[in-house]
Amino acid sequence: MACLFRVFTAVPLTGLLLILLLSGCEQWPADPRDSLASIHERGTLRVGVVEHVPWVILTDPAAPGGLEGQLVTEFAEQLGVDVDWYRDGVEQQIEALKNFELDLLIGGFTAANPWQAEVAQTFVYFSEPSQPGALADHVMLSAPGENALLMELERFLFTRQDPQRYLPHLHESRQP
Amino acid sequence: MRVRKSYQLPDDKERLLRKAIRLEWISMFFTLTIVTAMYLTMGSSQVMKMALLEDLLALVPPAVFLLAMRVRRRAPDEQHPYGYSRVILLAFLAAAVAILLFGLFMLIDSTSALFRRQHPSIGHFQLFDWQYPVWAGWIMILALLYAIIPPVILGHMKMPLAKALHESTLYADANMNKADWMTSTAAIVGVLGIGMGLWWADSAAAAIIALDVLKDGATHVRKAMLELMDQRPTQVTSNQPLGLEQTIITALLREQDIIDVETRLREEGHVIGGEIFVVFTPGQTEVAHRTQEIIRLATELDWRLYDLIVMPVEKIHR
Repeated sequence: MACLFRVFTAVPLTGLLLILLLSGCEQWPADPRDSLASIHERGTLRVGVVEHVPWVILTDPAAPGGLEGQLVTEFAEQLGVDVDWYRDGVEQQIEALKNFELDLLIGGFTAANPWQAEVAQTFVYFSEPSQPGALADHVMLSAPGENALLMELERFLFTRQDPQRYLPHLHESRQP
Repeated sequence: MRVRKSYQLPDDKERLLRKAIRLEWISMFFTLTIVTAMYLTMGSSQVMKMALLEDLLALVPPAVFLLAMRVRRRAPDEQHPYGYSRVILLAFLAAAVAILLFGLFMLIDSTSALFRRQHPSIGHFQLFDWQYPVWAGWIMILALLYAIIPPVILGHMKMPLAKALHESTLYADANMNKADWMTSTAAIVGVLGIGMGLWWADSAAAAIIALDVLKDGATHVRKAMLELMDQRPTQVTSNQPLGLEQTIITALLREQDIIDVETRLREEGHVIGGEIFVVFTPGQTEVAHRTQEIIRLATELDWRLYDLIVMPVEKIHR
């Protein structure tokens, strides 16, 4: 019985190891759905937007603004690609992100968002003072399991962590 | 009511038992450090979650062992005239059932993640509010490598103690520890799989860990149940008979006044009790005196033998 079990675990384990060794890897960690490679191929980043002042402002439909709109534009510039903006309701956007129809989703999301088990989220790039708990911790959402894309976005966010980038705008928008 | 005399371990075994107790405390300590390391690095990986649960379950056998040790030392009393030596088996059974059910839960959880085609997302490593420019998967692998080492060493140290002390709970624990490297390795393979862009590697490796827990649970439940049902004395490491019955028979048949002997023994935790049936030569007048002598003689044959009953009979029906 015990011997049989050993065989049962050993076979899939060695199988897994073999597959791991055989499949070469240029990107680490890699995207299961090749999102990052597709972005470069297409030349566009597909970004879903949900309005949330001052993070995402949709007054100009061709070029959404706001703090996160600005961040994504800069990220796309760094990648050397254009941005395709998609406007829809938040549930529709999450669904699209889960189905890999979007690469990123912005809308002033925080670490308290209810979709973290279903989609990927970046680390907290900015913590709002004067907001309680996880609602203050701002993150961006990306396609689930596309870890190369997530790492690329986070590498970009490492350079955009200075609270002074965000605080003046926040105070401005909080003025009545 | 005449209650049993309390059982005293021989001095050398008592020393071994203290060593075993110390090892179990050390085990609990290391398991806690492992669980903490896993928790801090876990992220959203399914396989890390299962490895964490598996290591959390590794706390159960030592905890059960240490708890039962306290109860077991109580002397037999009016309410429990046969003593408390079986408490360890009972505790072991409860722990085994818990492990079995947990294994089932883990299997369902990880296979359902597989069927839902859940893609695990692992980005940069973060600890509380700080982020580090390194892939979190590497830190998970470090934690898993740490999780391999202490249990394997402790398992190897506990194994000979379990044999020497006739403690099946300790043996089961040592065995689980020794097999622990397999689950940690499976988890490492799972995390590496995520890095290579194989989203299913995570849940598949998690399912393997769950299967291992399930197997552990099933083995322990079986063993605990058999021993609670007055099983004949068997080796801790296998289900082979200890052969104590034959040892007693051979020794007693050497006595001049004994024509025929038969025994019936059972395990009561770490001690072994039971009956010896003896046919004396006709004309033996000092039956009561001889019976007491034979009890002493038989009990000295093995340190586990305790409170044997000798029954003089006319003929043994086999």
